[in-house]
Amino acid sequence: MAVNSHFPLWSAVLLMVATSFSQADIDHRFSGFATVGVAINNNPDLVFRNDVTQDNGAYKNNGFWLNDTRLGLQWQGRWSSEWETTVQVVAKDRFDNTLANSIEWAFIRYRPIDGLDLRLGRLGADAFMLSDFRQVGYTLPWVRPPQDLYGITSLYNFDGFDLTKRFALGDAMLNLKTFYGNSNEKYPTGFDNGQFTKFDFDLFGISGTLEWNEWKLRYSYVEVEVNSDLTKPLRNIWAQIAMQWPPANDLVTGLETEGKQFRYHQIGLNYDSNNWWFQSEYVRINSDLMLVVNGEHAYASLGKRFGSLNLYGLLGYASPREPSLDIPVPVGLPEPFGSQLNYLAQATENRLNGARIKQRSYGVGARWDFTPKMALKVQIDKVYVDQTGSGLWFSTTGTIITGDKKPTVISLAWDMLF
Amino acid sequence: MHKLALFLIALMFSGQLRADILVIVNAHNPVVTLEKKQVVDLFMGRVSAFPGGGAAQTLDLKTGTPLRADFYKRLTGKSEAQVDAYWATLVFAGRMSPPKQFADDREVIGEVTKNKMAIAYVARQSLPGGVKIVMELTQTAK
Repeated sequence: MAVNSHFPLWSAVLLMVATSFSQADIDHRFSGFATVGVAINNNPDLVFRNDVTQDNGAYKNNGFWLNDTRLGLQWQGRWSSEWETTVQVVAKDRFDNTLANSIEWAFIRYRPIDGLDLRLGRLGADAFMLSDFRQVGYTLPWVRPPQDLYGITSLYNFDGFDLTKRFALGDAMLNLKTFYGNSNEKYPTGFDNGQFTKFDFDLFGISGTLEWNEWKLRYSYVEVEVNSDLTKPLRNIWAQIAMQWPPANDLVTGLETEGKQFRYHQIGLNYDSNNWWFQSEYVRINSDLMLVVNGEHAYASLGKRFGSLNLYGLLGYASPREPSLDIPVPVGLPEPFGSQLNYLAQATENRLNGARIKQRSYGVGARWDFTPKMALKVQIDKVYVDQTGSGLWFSTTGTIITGDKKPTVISLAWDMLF
Repeated sequence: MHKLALFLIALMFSGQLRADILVIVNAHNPVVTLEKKQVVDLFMGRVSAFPGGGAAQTLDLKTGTPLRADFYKRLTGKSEAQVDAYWATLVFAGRMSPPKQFADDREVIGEVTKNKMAIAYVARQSLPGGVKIVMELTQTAK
């Protein structure tokens, strides 16, 4: 079931917001966050992107401002202890920069009793540990959520509902959450070239977060069902080929996207003694689509606070769990069929293998809380990008990336809350 | 040498010069006393109700007020920056609205006197009849 997209939930919430301003007894809260950041990537061949929704980024020491710079504004209206409305708008460099896309959240929260929350509207897709606040730089020790894992997180929000229930287990606290909704996103397919793939999908997820003293443990499962047919022209050509070369039928099936699913399993662990801290996550993707690669993503970070200074190290890892696609085109086919088939096989391989992510990264950094509600950060990441997995990066020239790359990315950020 | 020793002694005791902190609620609130963990849960936005089930509204001092940093440090061991970062995760995830902030003790006490859901912290002082103490954070409290 797809949530009606002709009259989206978030616009209904906005209407309620507009009418609510005329009522006197609502408690209004305004808040915001901002980051001014610059990233410097020394590599001339690869464009550094925070995640797959960006079509532009730092390369060749150009000192790019729009990887991390953003402004978020939030309004919360409290009608009573049960009812609250939240709207958050985020301005940043987006590939698809429309006002509708700038509305990050717009929802109504109903809390019939303490510990039970039902929310309806445009909501944050709470897929990973930092998902809900990953754009708020001030909440993070690093300049940005680790790219090896958060680079794949295309889901920022969805239109639907979520339900959260809190349980007290002795000294520990368990929060269980489930959500369901619909979303769509345009993913750019090349460096600043305006081309994209548009996904429409339904998502369903559950998560459990256990907090106990200095520890926090989280598990989540998210199921994404793709509603769009993204490969029809390519499948049609392969279907033609299959009449003369039957093995192509596997490709015709594998390339299907509509009604197909992929799933995330996530485990996260956080420890914070106020002195030393540790944060780590692991995500495994199981996919029924050739277009979404089965893969594993992880990071671990260890840090220590010295007064207002926070120093940390960061390791990241991403790898597909399957070999690159290699279509076994037979040799000695009659021409021009043989050449055409070879060309088509190459184009299909390039498209699908281009989405693979195989890299590891090593980073160090510092955060300095120099004044209330403001922090300065500096971070240096060395990334080893395998030539068979440069999916988080774009080629600066638009040509296929050959050879392993070792970009160094230096990032500076100024985060603030207001 | 004596001066250095005196200085060190003065440094050791300087922390104790800071006042005790009182956690207060409206006099009509049925809650009599709160444990430290319950106060932590309320001020860290983990719960939004008193142990008896009544809705709670935490009141806060403005960021940068010395008593605020002192209160959170004693309550949670966290610096003010850590507390603000933590609260930002709740607020910008849309899970909680931030506690209302006031300029000083006088304003806080005024609001607690009026608001039956309120819970707040103030430096030790003689308090009006409209509020009552539910917990004390003394110097020795960790």
